[in-house]
Parts: sequence; structure tokens; C-alpha cells
Amino acid sequence: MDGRVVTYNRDMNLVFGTCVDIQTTARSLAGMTFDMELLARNGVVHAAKIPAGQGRSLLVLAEFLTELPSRIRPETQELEKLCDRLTHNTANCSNLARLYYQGVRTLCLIQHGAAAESVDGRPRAARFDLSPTRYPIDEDLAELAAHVPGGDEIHDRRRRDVVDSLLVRGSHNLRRMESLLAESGRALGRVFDKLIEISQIGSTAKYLAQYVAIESVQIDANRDSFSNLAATIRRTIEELDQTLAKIRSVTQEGQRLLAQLRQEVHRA
Amino acid sequence: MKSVVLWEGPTHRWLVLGRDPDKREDLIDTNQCVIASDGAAMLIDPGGIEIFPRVLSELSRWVRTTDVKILFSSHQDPDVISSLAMWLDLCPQAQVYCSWLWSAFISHYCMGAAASFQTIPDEGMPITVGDAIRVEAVPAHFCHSPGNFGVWDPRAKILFSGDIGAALLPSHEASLFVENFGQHVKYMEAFHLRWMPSTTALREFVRRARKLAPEMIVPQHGSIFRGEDVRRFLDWLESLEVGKTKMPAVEDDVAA
Repeated sequence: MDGRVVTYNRDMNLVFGTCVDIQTTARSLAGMTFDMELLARNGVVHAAKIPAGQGRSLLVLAEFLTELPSRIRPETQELEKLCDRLTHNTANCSNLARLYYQGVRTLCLIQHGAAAESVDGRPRAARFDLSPTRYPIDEDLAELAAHVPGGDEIHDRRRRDVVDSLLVRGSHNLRRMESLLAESGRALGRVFDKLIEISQIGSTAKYLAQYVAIESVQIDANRDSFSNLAATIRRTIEELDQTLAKIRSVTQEGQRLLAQLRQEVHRA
Repeated sequence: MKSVVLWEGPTHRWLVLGRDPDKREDLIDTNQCVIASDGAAMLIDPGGIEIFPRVLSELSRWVRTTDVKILFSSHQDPDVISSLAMWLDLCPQAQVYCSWLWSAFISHYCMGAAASFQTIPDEGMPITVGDAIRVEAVPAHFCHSPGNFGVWDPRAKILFSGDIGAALLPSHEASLFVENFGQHVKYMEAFHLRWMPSTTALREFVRRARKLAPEMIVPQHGSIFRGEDVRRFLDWLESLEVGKTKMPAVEDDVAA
């Protein structure tokens, strides 16, 4: 029994770790958007200094750029809320998995203890073991419980009562785990959608930065400043893209793990 | 894990669960006590999370889950009560009794389960289990925990003493009851000299225990004292001077 239950709990903890990774990386996005905003404001100041109307289009472009980080910020905030919910869910799921594990262990011990009893030199029941390669679900536990001998003796009746309580709580905890895993799966899906939206905003910023670089060739004064501004924005966006790619990869891994965990508790 | 009836009377019985041959080596051995009657039970220091399945599987011979009315925690240590979430999951009707000092700390063991706490004031309190069982939470503060209680049953004349009287025995096969007090002392001494911070508190406990005149003292670790060994134990405890553990040197002292 212990095999898959123990590794299941470990996989659950991996999901929790994944959620924390996403959350940490999402927080770094906030820092990047702040940097972009400073860069864009810097561009606005420079464009305003260019004389004779040469900087007008650059001014418009730079003002566009100042708005982009404020568009990204709500998305990163939403991402952080999703991650909060995810870590909360997976922590709860982890606790439930632990409760479930202890309940299953207890059932096994009760059955094995009963199997060790004998009447007239014969064992009261055959020892029953759960599969070590599968996560035990309701049907498995019911089968295990069916191998606990009954009887009219008071200790048999008490034992039966405890077995029944364990089955009821086990089923309840398993359903709760299933529900939390499903909710976490949906939340990770929304994380993925948010990442796509942020990525699209970043792409727009990269396009505008390229346009600033092209336009800056036309002006006489502060050309270098604008070229540098465009280059810095491009670098920041590339960093953003790398960060988003990392979160996407971690999210996909989290989704894979969650799907596997859900499938195991929902074999029926 | 084994269960043994320590005492049986018309209204209730005392059980002790322990001496598990399959206990992991890295876990401190513990005695879990149960006071049970028909329809009501109090678990005294129900044990750590790692041994919960074994405790419950053995307990199932004696008690229904719906019978568990009280989970008593002498103090806050994990070997005493870290299984709390499991017990509350199965026995949501149970009330948790512990020192007022520790309820907010012990709550951390609940893992989200709703717990009904009955906090015990420093002077102790009577506890009723079901209709027929009347016991008392007896103060034993600073032995070792600053908020610490034993359980006194005047009918059974049993005093559960928690960590007082604890012995680190070499094997799960060691006798449940002390058989040779002189030999037994060596298993108690190191524990008490390190864990017990206050000679005054220990002697206060001895004074209190002598007044109760128990016929059995049940510690949370080690063997149980009965008959003449109760007197021997209390005399030994009264003679002990604790709180003298040498502290690691402070840097200045080393330099000097």
C-alpha cells in the first residue's frame, strides 16, 4: 500500500512547489513592468526636448510605451491572486492526502490485526494487502474492509464501527481532494491564459520599440538616447519573454501532475 | 502495539496503549492512556502523528469513534498531540482539553479541522467524561512544560503524570510496570536532569501527589509505578536537583 500513497503525497508536494515557483516568477514580472515604465517616461522627457517638431512622432510613440506597463500590471496582479489560490488549494490538498494516508494505514493495520487472530487454531481472516502501485480509492478500501471479520463479540462490533467511520471519512476526504485538484486544474488553465495575454502586451511593446529605433534615425538631436531607449526596451521585453516561457513550462508541468493526481483518485 | 487494562471498576476502566514492536527507531516511545466507559472515552496524550494508525487500530478493540468525547493533552509536545488532526477528522465531537497557555499553539496541529477547545486554568479543574467518570486535571507546571497537567482519577487511584517519571527504556520489550526500582532509576535520571527545569516545581508536584495518595503513577514514557514503587518514585523525585545543565560557553568565556 505504502508505495503509491507515499509517492502520491510526494507528487502533491511537487504541485505545491510548482505553484510557489509560478508565484515567485510572477512577482518578478512586476519589477520588469516598473522598469519599462521608467524607460518609457524617460523617452517622453527626451522627445519633448527635441526642437522644431522633429520629436513629435517619437513623443507619441513614447507615450504609447508609457501606457503598456500599466496594462500589464493588472494582469500580473490577477496572476498573483490565482497563484495565491493555487498554493492555498494544494496545501489543503496535501493535508487531506496526509489524513487520507493515515486513515488507509489504519484500515490496513486493523485488517492485518484481525487476520492474525485465530479461532480453534484457524485464522479468522486471510490477510489482505492493497496494491502498492495504485492509489487506493473507495472500492479498494471497501474490499479491504470486507476482509475484516465481523462478529457479535463486543470488540468485533467496536472494530466494525471504527472501520465504518474510517471508510466514511476516507471517502469524504477523497472527494474533497478531487474537488480541490479540479479547481487547481482550472486555476492553472487561467494562469496559462494570463501568460498569453501578458506575452501579447509584451510583443506590442517590442514592436513599438523597433519603431522608435527606426524613427530615431530621422532626428538630429538625441538620436543616441532614443536608440538606447529602444534597445533597452527590447532587452527588457526579451527578459519578460524568457520569464513568461519559464512560467509557461512550470505551469504545464503543474497541469500534467494535477491531471495525473486527479486521474488516480477518480479511477472509476 | 499492545493494550493493557490497568484498572477496571463498575463505572469505567483505564487502558494503556504502547510497547509497539514495529515502532520506528527514531520515534520516542510513548504510553497512550484511555479512560473508557460505555459510550464515553477520554484519550490522555493520544500520541504523535506517526503512530496514529497503530494507536487507533488497537483502540478500535475497546472504543467506538463516536465514544471519544475528550482528547486530553498534558502539554504541547508533538509526541503528545500531533495526531490531533486525525482524531478530529474521525471524532469531530471530541473536545480538546489543554492548558490555556498552549491552546493557540496546539491549534497548529489541527490542519484546518474545527476544534472545540476547553482550556484548563493554571489551578486545574474537574473533568467529567460521559455520565459516570469524574477525574481532575492536576497542575504540574514546569515539569517540564510551563503549562502542564496530570490527570487524577480518585476512584481508580491512578495519577497520569505526563513527562514526570518518564524513562527512556532500551527496548519495547521492557516491562510495562517497574519491576526493580533501583535498576529503573538509571533510565529516568538523564531525562529528568535534562528536561526538568525546576527543582521547586518537581517538589511541588511531589507534595501534591502525596496528598492524592495514588496507587499507580503512569508516566507518558517508560514503565508504570505501582504499590511501593509509587512511594519510592516520589521519594526519589523529591531528592532530585534539576535545572543545572551546563550551557554552551559564550564566546567571551572561551576567549578568556
